[in-house]
Amino acid sequence: MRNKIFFSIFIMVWLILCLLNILVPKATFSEEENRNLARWPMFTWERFVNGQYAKEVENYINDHFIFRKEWVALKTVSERAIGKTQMNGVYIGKDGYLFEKVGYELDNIEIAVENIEKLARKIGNTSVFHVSTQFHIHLSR
Amino acid sequence: MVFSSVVFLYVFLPILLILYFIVPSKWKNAIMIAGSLVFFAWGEIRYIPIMLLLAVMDFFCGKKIHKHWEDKKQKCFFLCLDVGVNLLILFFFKYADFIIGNINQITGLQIPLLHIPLPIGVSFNTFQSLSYIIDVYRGTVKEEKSFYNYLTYTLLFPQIIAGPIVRYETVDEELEVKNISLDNFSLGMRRFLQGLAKKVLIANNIGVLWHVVEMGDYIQMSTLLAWLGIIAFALQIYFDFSGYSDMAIGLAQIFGMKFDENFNFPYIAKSITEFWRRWHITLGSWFRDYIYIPLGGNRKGLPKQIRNILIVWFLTGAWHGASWNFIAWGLFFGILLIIEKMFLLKWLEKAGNVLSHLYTIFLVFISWVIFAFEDLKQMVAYLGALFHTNSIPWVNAEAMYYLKNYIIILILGVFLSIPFFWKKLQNIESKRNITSSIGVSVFYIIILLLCTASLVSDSYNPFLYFRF
Repeated sequence: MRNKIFFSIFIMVWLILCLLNILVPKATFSEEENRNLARWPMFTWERFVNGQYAKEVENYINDHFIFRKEWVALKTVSERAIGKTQMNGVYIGKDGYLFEKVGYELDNIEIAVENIEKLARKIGNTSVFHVSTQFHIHLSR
Repeated sequence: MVFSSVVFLYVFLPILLILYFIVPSKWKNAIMIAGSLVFFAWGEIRYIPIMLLLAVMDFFCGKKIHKHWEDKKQKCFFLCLDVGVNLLILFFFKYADFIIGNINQITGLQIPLLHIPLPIGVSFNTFQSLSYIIDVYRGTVKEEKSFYNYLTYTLLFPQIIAGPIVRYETVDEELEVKNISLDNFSLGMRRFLQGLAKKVLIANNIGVLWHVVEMGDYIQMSTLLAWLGIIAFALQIYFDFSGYSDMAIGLAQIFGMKFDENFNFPYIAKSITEFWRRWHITLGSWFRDYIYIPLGGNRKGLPKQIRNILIVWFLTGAWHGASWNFIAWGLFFGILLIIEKMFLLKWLEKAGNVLSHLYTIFLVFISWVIFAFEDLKQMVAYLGALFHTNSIPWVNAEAMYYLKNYIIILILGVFLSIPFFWKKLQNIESKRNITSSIGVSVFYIIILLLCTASLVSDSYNPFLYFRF
């Protein structure tokens, strides 16, 4: 009896979520993130073996999950409820102010370095040196 | 594929369950095999042929051992063949580079490293095969007569990523006849959701704190932050690992099989000896039954017993990873266990609950520092921060910031690592009235929704202007 109640309620919710995911048409663009959502990847044997295909299918499923915005909202609300003031690289300040985390994270730096090198190549006839110090990166020509 | 992913929860598992339950019972193993293969192939296809070959060999050797039961030499040959090949596979994938690296260091040679990625499940898969063939050799289990069943056992996807180590004897009957019922489905699903919540809601969240601390500069780190970090690591590894075990045990129950328990509230232990009876139980009993006791256990005098304990804990350490810090971690426990056996356990009993509990938790935390750092210099620096050997204030603004951000989830973590809540939950779940049944259902639905929210949000990246 007690398991029947659980079984029916749980299966219902789970199946509804699964079905909605199949039935509801997919968006292609996310306003909030200003990016195109992942597309269904092309299958090639090589990409399947190196795991790239699986990864892209997972990205697709995540990107197009039903009620995506609402899930994100639920996560944010629940994290705020347990006292977190920093989420996804954004600090939540007083009076609803949001501050983006200013960081010298490795991939930021790498992207910056890459872009500068690209620029240097475009200008031509220049050489770029990167000197890293503890807190700043000085770029000099 | 991992359990804690949208694709597993909303694509793989529902499809597998529907297929599994609609086919007649003799086809259920086939669905299980197919499901397991898809599960592995999802991102890690290279190891599958090896797994299949190992399954064939285990099965073949099991049969041969049975056939030559009276002929000691033949029997021994097939045991050694199977054990040898399994160990070879394990060594090749897991330890080859570690051994080459050490040879290079000692001799100054420059043997190139092989850079083989560790396939998912190789540690658990080979340990299961070993338990099967040794048990057949000892006669404690009958050899499996159907390759179809043995293949189901050896591929069984729920446990292969992170245990528990399922011995053949635990599931041999269920390979033939599954114990499928609505009760088992509901119990298993709830167990699965508990594990999912432990992993996604607790471990992943607390893991963020550890990650921040780990990335910091230990020389400049305040003592409070270092302790927050190691508490976070201790909770993360427990909820991560025991969460995976719960999910595996729950899934197995849904499919009509019963796995052994793997964790039993390790952090309430009052000695290291007790801790290891509660932490990764199936690994501990594996080493006990297949290494410690065959070496003579405690029956051949104290010097031999000490030797045996050290061997077992050297191996336990090495099993966790091919690096010296894991071996040091294992031996750290080995030595503590020897000291406890010799006199400390008696002292601890007299010392009272609080003191013995503090002693255990303190040493377990120190062990996590050894576990967490492959680099000795970093390990020492971190220990320095923990014991305030630097001149940084005990508490600074940075530490207070993280304390404020994570205190609730840390307290929740501590609260959920003691039995109180889980006992209460079990009580309510076993009540027969409708209100508590509906209450329980709503509780688990909320867990499902929160986990889904967390997993779906992973790909959500607002405001990231530099990626345009």
